Amino acid sequence: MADLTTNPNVVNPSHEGQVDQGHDHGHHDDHHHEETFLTKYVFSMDHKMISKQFLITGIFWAFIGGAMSLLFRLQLAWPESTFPFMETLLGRWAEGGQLSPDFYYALVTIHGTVLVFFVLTGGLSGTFANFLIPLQIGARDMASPLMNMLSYWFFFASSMVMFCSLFIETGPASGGWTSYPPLNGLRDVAVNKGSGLGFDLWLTSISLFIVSSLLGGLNYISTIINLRTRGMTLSRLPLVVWGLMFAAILGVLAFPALLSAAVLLEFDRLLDTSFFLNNIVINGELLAYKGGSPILYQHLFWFLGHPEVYIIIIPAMGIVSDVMSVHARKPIFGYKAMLISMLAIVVIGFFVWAHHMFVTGMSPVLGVVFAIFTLLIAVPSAIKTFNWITTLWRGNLRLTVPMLFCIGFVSLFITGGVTGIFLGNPAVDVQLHDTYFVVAHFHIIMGVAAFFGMWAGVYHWFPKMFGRHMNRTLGYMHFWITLVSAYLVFFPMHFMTGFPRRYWSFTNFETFNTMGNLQAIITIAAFVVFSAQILFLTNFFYSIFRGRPVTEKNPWGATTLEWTTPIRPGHGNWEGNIPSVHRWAYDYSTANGDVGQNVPLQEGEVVH
Amino acid sequence: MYAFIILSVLILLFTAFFFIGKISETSTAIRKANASDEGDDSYDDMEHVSNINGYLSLLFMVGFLFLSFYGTLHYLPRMIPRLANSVHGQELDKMFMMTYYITASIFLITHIVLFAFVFMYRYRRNRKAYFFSHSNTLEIVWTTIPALAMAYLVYNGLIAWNETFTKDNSFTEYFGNDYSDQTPITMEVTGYQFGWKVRYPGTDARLGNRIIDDEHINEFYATYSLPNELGIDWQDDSSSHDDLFVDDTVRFVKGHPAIVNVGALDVLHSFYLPHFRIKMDCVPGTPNQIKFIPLYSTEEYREILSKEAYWQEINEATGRPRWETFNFELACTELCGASHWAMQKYVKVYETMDEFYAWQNAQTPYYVSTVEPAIAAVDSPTEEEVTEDEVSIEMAKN
Repeated sequence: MADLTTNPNVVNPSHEGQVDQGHDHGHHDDHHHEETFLTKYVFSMDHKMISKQFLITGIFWAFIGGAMSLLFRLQLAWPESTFPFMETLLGRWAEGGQLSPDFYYALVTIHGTVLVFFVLTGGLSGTFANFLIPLQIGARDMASPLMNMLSYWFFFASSMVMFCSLFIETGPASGGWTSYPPLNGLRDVAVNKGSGLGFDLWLTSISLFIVSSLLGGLNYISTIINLRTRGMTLSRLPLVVWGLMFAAILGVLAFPALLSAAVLLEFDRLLDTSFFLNNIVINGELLAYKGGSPILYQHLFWFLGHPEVYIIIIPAMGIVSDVMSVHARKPIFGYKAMLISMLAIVVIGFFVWAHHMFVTGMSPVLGVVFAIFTLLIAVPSAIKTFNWITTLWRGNLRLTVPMLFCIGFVSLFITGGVTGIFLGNPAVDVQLHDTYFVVAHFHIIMGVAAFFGMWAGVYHWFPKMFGRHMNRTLGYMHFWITLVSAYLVFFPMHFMTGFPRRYWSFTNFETFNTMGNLQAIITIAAFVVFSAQILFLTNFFYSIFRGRPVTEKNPWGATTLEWTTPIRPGHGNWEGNIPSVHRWAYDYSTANGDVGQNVPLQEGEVVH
Repeated sequence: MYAFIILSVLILLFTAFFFIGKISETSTAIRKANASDEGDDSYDDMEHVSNINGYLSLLFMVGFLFLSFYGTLHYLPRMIPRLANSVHGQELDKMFMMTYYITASIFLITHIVLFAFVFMYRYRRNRKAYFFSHSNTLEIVWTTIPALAMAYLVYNGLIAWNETFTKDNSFTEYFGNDYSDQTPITMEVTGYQFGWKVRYPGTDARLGNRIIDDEHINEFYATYSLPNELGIDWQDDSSSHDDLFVDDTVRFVKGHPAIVNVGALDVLHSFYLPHFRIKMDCVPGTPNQIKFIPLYSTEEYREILSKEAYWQEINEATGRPRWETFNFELACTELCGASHWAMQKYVKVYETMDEFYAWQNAQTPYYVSTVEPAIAAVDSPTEEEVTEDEVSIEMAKN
């Protein structure tokens, strides 16, 4: 905020190019105070700092979640071996060095939860929405910096509750990240250890996360709608901003359904209501729950749960579109088609949730409706893929690290996307539902692909975030090792078509015990992927402090507004006026060369 | 100890990587300083770097596509046999293969084009990218083609889906054939933590009624010290008296419709017969039903497998070829707690109805063996007090 006091815009908020938002900051003029460590790094209201907080918290959880997957991958690869270090690490959860089924399921559950919510929603949307929206639309900060700060701190509280739940006596939640009742609806550790206190904490954590997500989402939407700089019409917004807005809209509309499910589920557990429970017999005794429906929970859950995968992937699509365009030195191909297809995914994405429930016994007629919408969504996805490929055509592709991650994203999006066509078709889904084929599908498309989008973003915007470059060679190693070994982890899972997921061991089935050392190959590849992330981690933190300093404002030669700010922008982003916008974000390799959005039209140019 | 060694190796390896990275960065900087005539200073070695990564992309594409298809072929014999043992299953598998051919071609073509473009258009100092922002023709082409492909798949898929899941149990027009003259086998499977209660009707071909309320479950248990989790109406519905519970193996008959009522006692389970392409969730409080017609008996299926190399290999556990001991299996596919992975049962398909009847007749109904004595012991006590111990001894005898 010290920066703002020297900002001429604040003194004269009606300056040309400045959209009327100077009041947000103007009142700081009177009390001219230094920023303390606490206000600058901890309770910061600067969107750039908040975005870094989201990113670093996301990285923290990615490592926790990733490490968990290594533990259960060991069990899957060598179900009859013991690993003494596991007992050292987990104590009675791995007596004799073998992971207990209870803790195996806890690891699976927490792995899924933290990666979906904390890493790929909080870490991805939280980071890039906060960082890019004000910088790219030409705003000094979010519409409500306070709400923005609260959004992070609710996320932090949610993280802490989840983290604490790992250490309680009955163990963390272990009923799957989907948390279906009655397994999770009965607060009885005899039914499931993780359904005791662990699941109460899980529900608390997720509820806090929903609050965080809503605070963030409402803020992103209102910022994009209200705080665009002069000339930044909606049709000139970079695709990444559109992606972040669509994700925010999805979140705002879908997360409340999950919150209601969470609250009702907690009622069932604590107050003995019967929203999701009916005719349950345990130990020969009929419990008093009457008239609820476990399937109702699934509808509420997937009403969020499916849009959730678009909340994850749409910002990644946006990042990839823009980063690819910069490094290909070409406009993104078919901006309007990209936009319409994203919109189509958002709209149709709300009518496909029950494709997760084809075999729950729901009406086959309902199945027909959801199948049609589900396969319909393949069309906009295909359009996007073809447009990305055409963007590469006749470009001058600077194969930088972020560019490679974009290309990897497209490959993963295709590989993971085509398997969705199997799963969306109920006739085929009967056999594939809840098997390794599904695990392969969603890990490739919303796990690894979304991570690739995130890495493309981190490598691309790191110079803007920290004023330093990341080490390029380490980046290349990170990319190639990750791409190859991530495929080695998830592609072979397609071969296990029909093998049930969430199995602690396959040894007592003849049918599912035929793959020999395939599980071991997958586990070894998983270790390699994880190790490559240590490379990333080192590069990331080393470069924050010791990386090669950025010496020019616009190191990638991009056209968007964030690169017109100082190398290390203060709170308020621009020192002088906020630049006005005169064109779309993709004027690369035009007759006049590469032209930034802030450059006025030249003679003979047609407005985009 | 070995964990420590692996850890040290990893740390050393990544320290090495890290320094390689540092050195390459420094050398770039030195080269840059020496060649000050270069233009755009961030991109002076971009041509070199893009070359390396362009070739790596090509190498990756070839390796990845080769491994994808080679792996599929290599593991094909080990997959769940692609010969579905049910009428509808074969239709569903046709849909799978149809989808596979379409998606595999898309996968192959798009990957080749993607990485070929990456290689062909890798950075050249003198190349200028072609400003190509949109083409409505192209967009229309690649909206229409996927839309048609999806319409084709969804149309065929939904026909198979409707045939499989129509609620009508007459089997007069089931996938184009009339099975209505084949005696159906109606049975009931109830999942619980952690196993399956499998109930067959006796000679009357009717399952006894279930009434899920306090009286039939809790009071019955309290009165007769015998759990009655299913709430079977033992006292007022005599059709329950010949019902059979099976412990180890679920039984069906080749060519005869099987109508399975699936349910659950405690939490969600899912009734999964991988070879029959059957999957249906078991929901406490909500009865579900699924039906299918097995096509091959266990013996016939073994015969078919005996012609495949993988199944001819000797099974180390039994010392005999794999196909000889092959059995269909039942598994749970909905996470239901710590032993979710252990809910295994075998499935047997008889050649003829007579074999099924022979098995049925050899069983003692649960009512006769267990329920009747328990009720008798409480309702009409003999002179000497019947203790619980004696009831259980009697149960054991039966």
